[in-house]
Amino acid sequence: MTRSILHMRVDGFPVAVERLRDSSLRGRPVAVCARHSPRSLVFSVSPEARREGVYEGQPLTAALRRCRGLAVIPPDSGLYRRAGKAVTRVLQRYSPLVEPGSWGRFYLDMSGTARLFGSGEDAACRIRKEVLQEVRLAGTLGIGTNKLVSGVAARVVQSHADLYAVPGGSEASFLAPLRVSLLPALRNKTDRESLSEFNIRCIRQLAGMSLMQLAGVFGRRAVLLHRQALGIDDSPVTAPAAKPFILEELTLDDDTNDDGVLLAVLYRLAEQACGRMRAASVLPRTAWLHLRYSDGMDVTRRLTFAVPGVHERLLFPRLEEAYLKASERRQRIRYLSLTFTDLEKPSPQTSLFDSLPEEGAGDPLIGALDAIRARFGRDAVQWAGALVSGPAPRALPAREAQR
Amino acid sequence: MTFTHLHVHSSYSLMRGTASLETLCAAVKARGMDTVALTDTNALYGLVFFLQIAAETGIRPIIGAEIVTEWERAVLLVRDRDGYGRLCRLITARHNEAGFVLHEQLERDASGLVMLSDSLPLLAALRGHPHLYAELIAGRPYRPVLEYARREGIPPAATAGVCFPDPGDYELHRLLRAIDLNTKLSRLPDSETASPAAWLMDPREMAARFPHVPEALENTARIADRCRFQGEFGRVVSSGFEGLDQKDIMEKLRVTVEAGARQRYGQVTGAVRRRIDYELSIIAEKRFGAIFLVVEDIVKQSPRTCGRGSAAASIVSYCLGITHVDPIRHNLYFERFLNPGRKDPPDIDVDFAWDERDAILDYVFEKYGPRRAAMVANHVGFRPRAAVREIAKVCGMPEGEIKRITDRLAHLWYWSGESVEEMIRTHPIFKGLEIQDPWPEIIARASRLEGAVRHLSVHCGGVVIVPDRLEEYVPVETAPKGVRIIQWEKDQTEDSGLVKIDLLGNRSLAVIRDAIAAVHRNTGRVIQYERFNPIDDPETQAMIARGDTMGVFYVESPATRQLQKKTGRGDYEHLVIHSSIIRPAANTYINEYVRRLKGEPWEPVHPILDRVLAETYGIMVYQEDVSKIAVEMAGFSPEQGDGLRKSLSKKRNHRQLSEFRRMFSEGAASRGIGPGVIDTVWHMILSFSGYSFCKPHSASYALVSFKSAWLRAHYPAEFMAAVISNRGGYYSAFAYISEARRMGLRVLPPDVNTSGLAYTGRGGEIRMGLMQLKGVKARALDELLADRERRGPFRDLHDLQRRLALDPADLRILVKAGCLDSIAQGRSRAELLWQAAAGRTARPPAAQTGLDLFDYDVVSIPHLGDYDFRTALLHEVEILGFPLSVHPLDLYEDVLRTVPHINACDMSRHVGETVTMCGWWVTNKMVHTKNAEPMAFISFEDKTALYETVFFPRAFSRYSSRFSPVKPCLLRGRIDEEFGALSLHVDELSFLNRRSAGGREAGGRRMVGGEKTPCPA
Repeated sequence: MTRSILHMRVDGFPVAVERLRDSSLRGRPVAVCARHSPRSLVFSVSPEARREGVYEGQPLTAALRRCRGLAVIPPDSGLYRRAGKAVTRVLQRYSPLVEPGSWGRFYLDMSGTARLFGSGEDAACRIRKEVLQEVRLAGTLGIGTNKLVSGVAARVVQSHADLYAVPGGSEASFLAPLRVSLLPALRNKTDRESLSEFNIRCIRQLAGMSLMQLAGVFGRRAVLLHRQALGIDDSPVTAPAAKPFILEELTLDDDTNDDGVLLAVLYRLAEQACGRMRAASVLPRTAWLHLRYSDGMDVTRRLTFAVPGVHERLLFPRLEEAYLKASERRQRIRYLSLTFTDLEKPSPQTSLFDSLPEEGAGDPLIGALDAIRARFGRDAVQWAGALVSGPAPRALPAREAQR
Repeated sequence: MTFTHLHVHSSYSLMRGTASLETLCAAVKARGMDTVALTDTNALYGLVFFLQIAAETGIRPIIGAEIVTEWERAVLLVRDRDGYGRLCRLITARHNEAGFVLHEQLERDASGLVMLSDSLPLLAALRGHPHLYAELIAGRPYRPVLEYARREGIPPAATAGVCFPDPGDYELHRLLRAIDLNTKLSRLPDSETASPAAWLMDPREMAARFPHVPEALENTARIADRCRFQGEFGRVVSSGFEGLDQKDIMEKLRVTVEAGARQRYGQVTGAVRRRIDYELSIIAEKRFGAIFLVVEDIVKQSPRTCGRGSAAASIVSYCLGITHVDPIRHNLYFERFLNPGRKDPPDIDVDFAWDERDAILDYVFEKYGPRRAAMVANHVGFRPRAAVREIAKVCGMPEGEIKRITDRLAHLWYWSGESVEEMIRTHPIFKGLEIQDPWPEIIARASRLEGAVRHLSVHCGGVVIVPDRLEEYVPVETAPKGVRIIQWEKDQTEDSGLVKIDLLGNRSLAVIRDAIAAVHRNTGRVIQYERFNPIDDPETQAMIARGDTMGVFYVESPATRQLQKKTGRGDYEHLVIHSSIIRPAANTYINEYVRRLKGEPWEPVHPILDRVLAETYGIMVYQEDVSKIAVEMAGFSPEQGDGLRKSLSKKRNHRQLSEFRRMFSEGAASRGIGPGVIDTVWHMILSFSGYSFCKPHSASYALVSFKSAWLRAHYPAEFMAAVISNRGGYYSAFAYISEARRMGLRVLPPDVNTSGLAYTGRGGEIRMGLMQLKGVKARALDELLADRERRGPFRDLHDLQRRLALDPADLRILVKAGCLDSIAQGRSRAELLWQAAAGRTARPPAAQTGLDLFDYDVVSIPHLGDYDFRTALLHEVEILGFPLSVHPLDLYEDVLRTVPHINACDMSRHVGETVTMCGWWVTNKMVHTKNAEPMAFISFEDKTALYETVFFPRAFSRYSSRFSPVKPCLLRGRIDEEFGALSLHVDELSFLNRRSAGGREAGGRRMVGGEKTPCPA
């Protein structure tokens, strides 16, 4: 059966969401970016700002130099997550198979719904209208027989129209005149460079080659490349697995390499995560520590717990050790996150012994802290060791900052 | 009670101590102490300076060092000559012996030393030694040491383990440690840093730290009293020669000189005889004979050398073949080299072809052995760029951001003495650079690092040879590349009395060698370097007089070429003057010189000047003119005159110089010379600070210039190919290639079958060498050339791949550079790359492709076509470093058509007019005006000629932050002519860019500043 895959793409999603909140941002260049520090990086940009030369990942100061009138909005990932969910809910009316990609990207498998919703284009128009009416976000849509084609369609049509449908059977001819970098298999720089060395610029050239020819040069990847060049993609649209996890993350406004500051941040992340797990009464088996350096390099460390617990004071030494190992470079760290997975419900069987300290929930001090925070807010009470001086960690080492 | 600091580190305790010797000595004095020991870690790096500065400050110095091993440490102080030798040997052993155990070494021999240590095993091993003390360091837990010392009866001595002069410098110390250990401040272990108390406390503060052990403080004074050895520096340590005694040495020298004289002069005339006898008598008196024999022996090892420095004034050097200029014919005074009053050893420096020098050094070490010979060290300090970079890394800044700042610092290769911080704030080159947190802090800290010694490297040619054992005089280390080096750099080496011989690499000698070889290969003509003396060749003289000397040794810089043009003189005598007069602070004198040379009348500053300086039109040109004038005008003795000359060329000269200034003024005044004249002459003298040259040196160099100029005039292709191949000229390879084209030569692209490793020139053509390909492994090229030599040219890509196991990356570069075009057999470069890549990767499993393993060989290459012009050009730039097939300005032809401008070859027709010119950057030189404002001389070229421009301070401050060697410029300004040399005084600079084409006012004023600020490359 021919599949019908719809891709919806909201360009500059965080900006678009921010504009819902504040209509004065419409029609002018906007960037989402933490404002406190000249060193923070642009997270999302509006098309108007993009035209001025502002792009994601650019340092804020450079962005402001390019575009004097840039409105800078601090990021609010909770808001974007909610907006994403709202879009997903609309899409789910049309198919249970909705796969949210990165911010503002959605795949929807509409196969076999023609009798229900009419042709793909009709359904797409309705979807677009409903999203616009209900969530007030305008996206571009691509329709095709697979994720590859619909994704590319939504991307290339962006500047001309709202919708582009690639009829089944014309995938290859649709892709042929487009540039090779649009193929997901050729996203990385090395590939792009070697293709340019081979004087290959558009997908047509790739599609014209036999698998044998490609295999000689691209080896195992030739098969994927060959298929993509011809517009063939079997990957299914998969709804996100319902695998629960607890994530706490922080992007530092001022990146730093001071262990004192970073460990304090890590402790607070651990505290918050443990608090949430206690509230949900789950116990983690695994933790992931993820940090990102200022130059974008990511490091992840995995920890497993033989005895699961949610007592941050007991967890922390393990986390600290993992952090010290993970942060071997001198470079400043921009982002830290802590994810707990393999969550278990504690056994209803009460312990033979008084209490297992690892669980934490039973610790009266922790309980008291939880209670205070529940009533007066997250920052109402803190451990001195986790106190980061000032509103944002200063660039200088804490040792000096205190002088 | 008096307390003396016996454990003090200066910045010569590398990456640990923060204070310079001056700061330390001044602080000691200011805190009411009169004696101090310098105990740098495993080193005497700053010893000679320390003794000098201490004497100037009025402090009694104690010589010492702290020896630290993994397990133990001790401060060792020198009591007498024996102790000094022992300390040097110990430090040498510490650096060179793998199984060095400090207490064993000290047990064996600690004669002449006082030892302070807090390592218990060491104290235990040496217990009972009369000069052993238990060191109690303020700020460190010393209780166990004190208890042990009391139990064992070892007297205690208190120190502060000083690493910085003031408590506030602790942070700087930590920064240095973090840089050294490649870590960040928050992860710097305490064990790797000194305690915050390691500052230079005054005696009262020290007493407060040790209230219960007053004897520890008193002992320091006792120790200080015992350590009175002040070094024996200043006495010349001659090198010795083959175990001969003084008489035999002089005999051997005389015989060798006689033989040489017969060879040089044929007939030895009376004048020659008298000069030889006179020189030999002084050499004998000063006992310097051995040095001449040593150098003669070294020079014999290479057919091409060039003696530098004042040695060229000696007929003995000339006869020995150390120098090649006849001192009698060219009027060179021996006294500049050696005179009866001179106490320090003469320096004989010799240049060798840069690629032959290592073999010469090997010969020296082979002959004298590691005990007697070693190389001089360089003390590599933090330059502003490295300081900013290292601190930024400790602060965790990402690479890209660091580069943004340091790239601009790279443009400043001169160092005007202000701090980095000051420079970044005020220098126009940093205009438009946004400095945000935390950069101001980083830059401020970097300012404090400047000048601190970071590590040692090998001096480019200084060799020290002693008659007995070097490590009795100075500690010896082994540099990373395996060479033995002494712990001092050249100034301290000289001041200590060790004889230093500089064996330096010179690219032009190799250029001449290669060009001569190519001439022989191409034409069969044999030119012998030693007998080759073209100073009277009219064509060469005419070429030099025109200033067409790009590539010619020593006279190729824009300043010299302009001077040549202005004077229009190409004879040897004037070339000698010209290669001396170009020096940093001599601009006004150069103009005056040209004026006088052109026959304009002048008012003599004082008749003495005109008399002494008749040869150079009354202008001071040579270093020795300083001494001569001081002697004639102010009654200096020849030695004092020489002292003045020397102090001008040294860095640490302020005190000395002001003393000389006083002497000069008083001396001249007593001879009835007016204060105005004294001031003027003193300013002339000061223009010799920094670097300047003596006549013998310039004469020696000018001879090499003539040889290379002759080759340029008669064999341009061979010569230019040799210039580019030997690299390291004043200009970039691209600039030389452009010049070659202007000379009418064709420059051909690299080719696997016709290119050698080096550029080759023949007739009217230069073939680019494979050395120009960036990123190809040297070994791959060697293999390729060897195989071609053995089995003949390559037929096609397949043949190349079959014969050589080339790394695919190397092969790609060869293809992209067009090296295989001649054997492509109709295939485009892209197709060749495809062919090269095909079959190299792992294949997909047959199940997925339906292909058999054997099918791959018959797979055809897809049709990929030729690169478009832009891509091919990008590849050229990427691989060669510059476009070869076109001039970069060709790319802007369409734009240039819309902009009215004049060509460089027509400049002479527009003198005095304001014009627009287009230009591609060639080289630049930044200088300061009298008012300390920065300005620049920049050479540009267009497709017709090379031309010079001047950016005066106003234009400089406006445009310097935008200078870029890779952007085509439009320059607007007035053409100025001075004695026939043309230059453009730039008022406006803009960059050509495609978008500016066709605009209504594209060529006019509108263009200036039309484009947004580009990044400097």
